[in-house]
Amino acid sequence: MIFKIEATQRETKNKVDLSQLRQNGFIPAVLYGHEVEPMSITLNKAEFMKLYKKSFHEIVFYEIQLAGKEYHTLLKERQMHPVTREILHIDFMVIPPHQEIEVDVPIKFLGTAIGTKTGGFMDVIQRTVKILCVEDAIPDGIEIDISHLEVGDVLHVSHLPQGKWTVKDNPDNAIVTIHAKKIEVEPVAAEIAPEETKPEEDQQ
Amino acid sequence: MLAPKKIKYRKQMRGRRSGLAWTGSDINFGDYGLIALEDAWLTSRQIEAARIAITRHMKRIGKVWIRIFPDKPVTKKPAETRMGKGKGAPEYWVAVIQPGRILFELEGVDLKTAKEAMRLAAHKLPIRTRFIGREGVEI
Repeated sequence: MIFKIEATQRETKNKVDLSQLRQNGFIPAVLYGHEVEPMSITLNKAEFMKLYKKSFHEIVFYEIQLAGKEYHTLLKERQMHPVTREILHIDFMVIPPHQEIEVDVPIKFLGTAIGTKTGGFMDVIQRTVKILCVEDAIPDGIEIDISHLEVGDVLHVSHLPQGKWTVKDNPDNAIVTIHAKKIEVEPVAAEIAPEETKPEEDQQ
Repeated sequence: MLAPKKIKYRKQMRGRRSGLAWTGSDINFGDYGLIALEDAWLTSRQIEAARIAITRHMKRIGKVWIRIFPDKPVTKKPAETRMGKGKGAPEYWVAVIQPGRILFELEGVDLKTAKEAMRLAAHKLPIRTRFIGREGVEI
């Protein structure tokens, strides 16, 4: 999916100015990458958030229109405020044409596992997979059928379908597993009172 | 209750807990989470009470992650003791919490159950909290 968004170049870099910018409904960002000098830019927050909310389930490219030019980019990193959960800053990376890049692609689970129908629950361990791929061949998401999974079954990275990409994650990494309904277990057995815990070395 | 198995030093200084939780503030495992809106020392008893409230409401379906660990010993002097004569004996364990810290995460239950489980857990804690969802999960 490709989203088009307008941006303006930004000169302000200090903390006070950036806070002012955020209060006025903008998000500070940076644009860097293939044959591009790193540039500080500003995005309209409302416009960006509308697009960002659609981007969680498949890979998204952002066409950034800046000073009459268009940059084909990928959202590389976003900083979020821990309490307000608002985006504070974004990194956009310009994608080099016809070159392989490393990108995290979402995994799409197809069907409902047999194990979940018999009382188990699906534990998704990994939601994205890192692949090395040419920009034109990046899939929106990698689909995997989970309908045959029973309680205790595990799917690994090695079970993902092959394509025009190289998977960079460890093939033994688990992606999804089906757990049985479990009995309540104490998280840690050791119930040591602080005074009973013996230090290895005590400098008094 | 949660407590360290082995420690290097028995007693710690109190420290400061200013600032925000810039780490440990993303949902990394489950679909839903409970974040702290205030700073606090959460004792191992409070964490355990909240965990029990969650698992009881979920009726042992789904999975719970406790994202905090009480690794700080708190000392206390015995009652009716004169001041001085050194620092008191370690009494209990606490986790140092800053605003934004994810306390618990849940997976494998529907939104209604998750919200109610987190509400019950929040009542066991001495701070204001908020229920949040992973990016892309409707709440």
